[in-house]
Amino acid sequence: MSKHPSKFVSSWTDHILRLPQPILTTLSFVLFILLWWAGTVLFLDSDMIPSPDAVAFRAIDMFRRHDLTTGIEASMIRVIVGLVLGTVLGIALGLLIGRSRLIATFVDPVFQLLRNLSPTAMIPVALVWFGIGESSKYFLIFWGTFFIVAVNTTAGTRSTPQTRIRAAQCLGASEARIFISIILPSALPYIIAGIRLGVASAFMTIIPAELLAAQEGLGALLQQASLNGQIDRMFVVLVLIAVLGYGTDRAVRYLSENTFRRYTAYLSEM
Amino acid sequence: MGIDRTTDHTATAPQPGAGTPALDSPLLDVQNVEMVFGSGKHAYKVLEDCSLQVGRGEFVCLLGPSGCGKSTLMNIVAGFERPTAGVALFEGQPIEGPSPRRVVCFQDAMQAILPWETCRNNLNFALSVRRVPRHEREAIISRCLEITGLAAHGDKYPTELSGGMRQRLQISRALAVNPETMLMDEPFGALDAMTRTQMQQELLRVWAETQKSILFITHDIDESLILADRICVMNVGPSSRVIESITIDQPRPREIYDSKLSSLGRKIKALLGRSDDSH
Repeated sequence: MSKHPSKFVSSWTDHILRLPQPILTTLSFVLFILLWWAGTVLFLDSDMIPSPDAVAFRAIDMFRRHDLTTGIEASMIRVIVGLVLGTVLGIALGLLIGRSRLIATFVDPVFQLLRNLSPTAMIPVALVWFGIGESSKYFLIFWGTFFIVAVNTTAGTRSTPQTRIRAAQCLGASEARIFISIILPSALPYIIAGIRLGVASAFMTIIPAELLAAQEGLGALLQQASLNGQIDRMFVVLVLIAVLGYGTDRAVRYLSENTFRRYTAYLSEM
Repeated sequence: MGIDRTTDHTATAPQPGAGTPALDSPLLDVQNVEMVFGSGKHAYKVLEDCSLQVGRGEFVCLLGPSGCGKSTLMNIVAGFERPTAGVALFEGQPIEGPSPRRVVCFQDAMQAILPWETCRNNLNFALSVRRVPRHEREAIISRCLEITGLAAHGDKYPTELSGGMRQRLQISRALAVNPETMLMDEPFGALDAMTRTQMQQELLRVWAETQKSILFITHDIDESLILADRICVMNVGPSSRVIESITIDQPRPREIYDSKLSSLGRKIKALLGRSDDSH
């Protein structure tokens, strides 16, 4: 019985890929950190890229001084408020545009125009309208998520198969019933996709929003570190932003794959 | 004229009233219907002077090649479209829109049912739309699932069902609202040959038990020979119409290799072939 060489090679990769997903994800991060550390030890300039352990120690230090907790709290509140506003209004408008040709005709062109204004582009205007307080941050995060969620929601409502609508009409369902029981559930996977993109946008928006005018928050921490030339503090904040964004997205994905599983899972199995 | 419901299952398969409906007062009466899409230079006439009748309890197959407008005709009968000329009557009244008395079973079952609900809940949805009181629903749901052989799969989601079972679920749901007529748009077209044969016999059994009128659309000559009391043959488009109505007197279950049926099949093929040349 001879062992074919290629069979031998594939077997260990097979074993690895058969491990549970959380372990594989953790392995991926660990590998990344190891490479990073090796890089800083071997050839990377520690004034450019601090080593993982330096970042970790600085993080613990910042945490002890409550810099991090205040920063995270401030930023996350702004993100969540803006996200909720943007999601709710985005879904509402998306549904309206998707279902009403009248509204679509008049609202859509203007909507497509305004879409191109990035949240960052809106920062100066936001400061004029809302000042340097919390409202300007809420507005900017809202702006960043609103268009994305609306566009995806519209796509979702229009994606409802006509067959499904007609089948419900045969049964005698009213327009309202069709909207609630057929169109909304059909649109849900698209809406969730829009929310996930909105989350990413929110995390990308909060930093420039805070860089320009905030006392607290992750963006403010980043700004302060930059003024003081503290590369390790900068990295701490970057890691934190990345982790928070990742975590929030994971939370949305969890909702999609568990709580709302029956509205999303069938698409891949059709 | 009554429907004969045979209880003796050993001798022959169920034999509902064969092929001679009371056509003087048909359940479904499509009269000289015309359907034009678009306008001016881009106008396309799908149907012209098209007539069709389905009697109470009758199983009628609408047979024609792809693109002949069978689905358009069905859309008119279902109430999704209005004809540009002519009239479609149901129980003597013009058809104004979709109605639970004329339920449609679509070819793509997965698109027609609710994929996010279990089989039971799919039926429950239909009953809820019909405002059937809650305490009555369980019995109806059980009965309808039983008729189509899905009793054991009530709590499964459509993704856990095979193609044939999903189609059965759609039929179950249609039965749950107790329509007079079932309009079936090539419901077995997407199934493999073996499942299709099985489903054809299942459908005949359900029909015998429930005595519904059925308008069944297909492009498969053999399928129509196996199923129908009467076959309405349509010619290829544009300006399609029902060119002939062929009654089949043979008892069911039918064997398509039977000489009488195969000669009918040849006749139909010739009809369809000739209709091709005339355009």
